Amino acid sequence: MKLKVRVLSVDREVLNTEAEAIVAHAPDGEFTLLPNHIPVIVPLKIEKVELLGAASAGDKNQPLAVHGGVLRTDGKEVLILTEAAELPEEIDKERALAAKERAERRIAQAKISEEIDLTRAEAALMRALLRLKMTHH
Amino acid sequence: MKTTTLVSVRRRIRSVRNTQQITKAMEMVAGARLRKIERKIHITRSYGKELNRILLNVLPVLTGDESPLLVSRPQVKRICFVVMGADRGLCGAFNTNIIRYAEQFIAEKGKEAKVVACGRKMVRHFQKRPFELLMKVSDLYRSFSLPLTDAITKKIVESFENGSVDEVYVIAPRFINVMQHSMHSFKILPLSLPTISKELEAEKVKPSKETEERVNGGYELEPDTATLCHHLLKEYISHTLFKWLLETLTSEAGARMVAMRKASDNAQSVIDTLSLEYNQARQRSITAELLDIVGTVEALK
Repeated sequence: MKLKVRVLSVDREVLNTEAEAIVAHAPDGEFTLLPNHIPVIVPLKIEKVELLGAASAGDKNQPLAVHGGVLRTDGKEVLILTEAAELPEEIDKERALAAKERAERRIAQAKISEEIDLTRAEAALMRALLRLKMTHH
Repeated sequence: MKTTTLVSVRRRIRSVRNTQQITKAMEMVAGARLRKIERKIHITRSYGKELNRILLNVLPVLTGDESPLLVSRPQVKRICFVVMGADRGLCGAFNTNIIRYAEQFIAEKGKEAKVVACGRKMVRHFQKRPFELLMKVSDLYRSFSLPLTDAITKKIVESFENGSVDEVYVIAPRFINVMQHSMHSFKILPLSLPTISKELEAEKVKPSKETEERVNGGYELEPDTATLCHHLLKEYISHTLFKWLLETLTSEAGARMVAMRKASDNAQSVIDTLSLEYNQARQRSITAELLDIVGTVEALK
């Protein structure tokens, strides 16, 4: 039996497919979800989520950049609810690189001026780093 | 006799027509924006539905003390107000109405007020007031996203948790239709479980089939109930802010459309009056000329 996987972000349904297993990152570490896992709801980090043997990738592994959110499963279906998720081929490497540099600059400046929002810049940096990680895949 | 000369009337007609073209264009831009946002509302609905379902899975096992976000303070001294408005003017009384409502609301609460201003017009207004501005958000239409509402959420949650504010309210317009919007305010922090479940009920959220069999409590909550609850509540706040920003943007686009249509209609009636005046003046000069010619001919006889 395969897991039904649905990845939903605010602005679109990123993925709706089936997979053998899912490797994701909770705040306290990496975990693997197999079919018939006990029903669970768990928050996700801004990290890579990998669908193993995903139907959408021709039964190969499908990596995904997931920008935080929540995962819920009942053992058969998995729902990932996130503010944004991207497939590797959707990521613009140049843009991610520029975003990373901008975020780093802002974090450096935030230590001097209070005008810049540190938390926002840090979140931006985390997102940019994840995108870059995905393109190195 | 009127001293309007043909040239000056023609000039005025031309200038009014130019203005009318601008107002018409702005009306169209606002209309396009409105449709775009409406589409966005439609898309975000399924996300909201699923988030609500997850909340519904978690709510029944909560007792109300899992998260500091659920605990109300016995004494409220400082209140934060998240005021949502527009970036630009030319949308009738839209911004004025929001500011008037917000000021009244803040005065009614009568506590030390801090403000999160969303929309450049709101930032400009509240900068002049003696309130502390916790956060300024401008260029809403472009920067509008979940990361933005997450940042706002982070800010208000932080302020709430470190005790610099005791309550947080949201003040925003609610979209009724293109012609109408009403003002709305509600408490977003501290949250209360009954309010959330009432809201879920109002939105007719039903658990999905599989979860229904499980009767809510069946989910393991990782890493533990309190952490997950805290996380979910933050997502809930962020999504609520997101929804209300959408309402604000839609109301704004609607208000601008109406204001610009009125301006275009107004310009048209000015043009009509001026054209009449122009034609009368032209006819008058022709008549005068004819009289001159006829008079001369008569005199020559």
